[in-house]
Amino acid sequence: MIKISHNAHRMTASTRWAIGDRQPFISKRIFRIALEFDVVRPSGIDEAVDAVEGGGIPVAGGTYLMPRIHLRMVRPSVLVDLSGLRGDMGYVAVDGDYLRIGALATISDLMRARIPGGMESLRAAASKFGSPQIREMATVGGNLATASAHADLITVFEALDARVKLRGRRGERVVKLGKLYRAGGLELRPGELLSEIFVEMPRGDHRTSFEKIGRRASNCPAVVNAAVYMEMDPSSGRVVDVRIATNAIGPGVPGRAKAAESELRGRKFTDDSLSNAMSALDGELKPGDDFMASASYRRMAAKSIIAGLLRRSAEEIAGGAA
Amino acid sequence: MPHLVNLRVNGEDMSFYVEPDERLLDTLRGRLGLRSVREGCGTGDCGSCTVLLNGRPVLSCLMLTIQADGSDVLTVEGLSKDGGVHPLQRSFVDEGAVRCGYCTPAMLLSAKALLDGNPDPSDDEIRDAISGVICRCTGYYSVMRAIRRASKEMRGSK
Repeated sequence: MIKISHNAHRMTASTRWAIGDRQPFISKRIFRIALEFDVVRPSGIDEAVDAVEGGGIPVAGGTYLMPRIHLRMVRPSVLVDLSGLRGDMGYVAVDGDYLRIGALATISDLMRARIPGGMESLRAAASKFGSPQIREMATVGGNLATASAHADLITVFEALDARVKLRGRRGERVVKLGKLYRAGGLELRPGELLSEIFVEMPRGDHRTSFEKIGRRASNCPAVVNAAVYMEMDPSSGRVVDVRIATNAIGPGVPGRAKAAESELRGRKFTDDSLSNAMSALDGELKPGDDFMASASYRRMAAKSIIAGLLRRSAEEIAGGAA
Repeated sequence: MPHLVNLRVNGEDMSFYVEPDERLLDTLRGRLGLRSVREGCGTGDCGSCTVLLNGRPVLSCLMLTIQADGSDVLTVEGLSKDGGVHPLQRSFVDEGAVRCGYCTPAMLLSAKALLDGNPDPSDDEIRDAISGVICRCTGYYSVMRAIRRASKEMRGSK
């Protein structure tokens, strides 16, 4: 089954291998379990679109797909490896009024990028994402495109009212992030790939924040996550704009808690308005039930962290660090 | 169809053919005989297959070898030169941070990646750096002590 290999390694007589003087050893046969897929390595996004339209499964960092292949939950015949396009699509850049993030930017790229103030939620979610190794490999586009209920970046970008660029055979289109998802998957045309996510840089007196609860701190999917964007007039305490996103909104992908938002928007932020928003939130949450946590726990936890994020945002803006 | 890859492994340039579905773990451990690279879970949870790719820690069980084409790979075998012992290896021994040893290569490489970018890390930074590696002998405190000690020694020697 395993046929290999044209043993063409280069080396000089003086090179040393590891500890001691052993010569490098490259085995032609190795014992391994064949996963039995072929890999296409496109040199540009158009080539990638063609390969995906032809039935290939796109892979970038592989931190979501590869475990599923290993466990035989997915048995692809062709993978389209996007990692070679990272040079073109791995940017994190401020472009005028927009923050633009290439789909192949890794979570570590996001942490290392110098993003101007007001994007604390992005920083918080990135630093709590997976493990250091996962952050080096996993890409922003990948996290959004898995359409997972545990994807922290969907929550963050929903609260930032982000849009995504989709690249397909017939060019590019832009959709709101929320429009990308439908029950059980992505609203994509055949061959379409996510190429960029962008956010309008917030102005005014605002705060962005993110919180997640998992079974442990590291390398653990969120049982509940939530992100808040709040803009408030610091002198009057009136909420100019607010967006709340959480994965407890339903059993599927994270989304906005719009009923709770509308209880706060345009009103002065008080204990009463917060309590009204929490009642509205209770009515719109439809958390899922699984091995990690019960739906009732998720409901309680989501309300608790969202109330905390809202209160902290209001206090910080009113505190005048504007 | 086999793909030609060029890798620099532990300072050595090499090129050879691999199968498209071959993981970096299979190549390093199976093809090159680097036994410090270990498969624990194969799904990215345990971290024991950690290697440094261009100086950054990655999971070799989730990466295809052809995705690493053109990269610089470091495993524990390349940590020290000419038969010596890296200060981290020394301090892991001195602090008793090696118990069953299965996670040790991943701990060492995670620590190296940390100290290369941050020679004087805080306890929280050390904790975060090794948070992707699971140790079931509950050796985290001794590992933290070892990393603190190595960081002190490495700063002292400069």
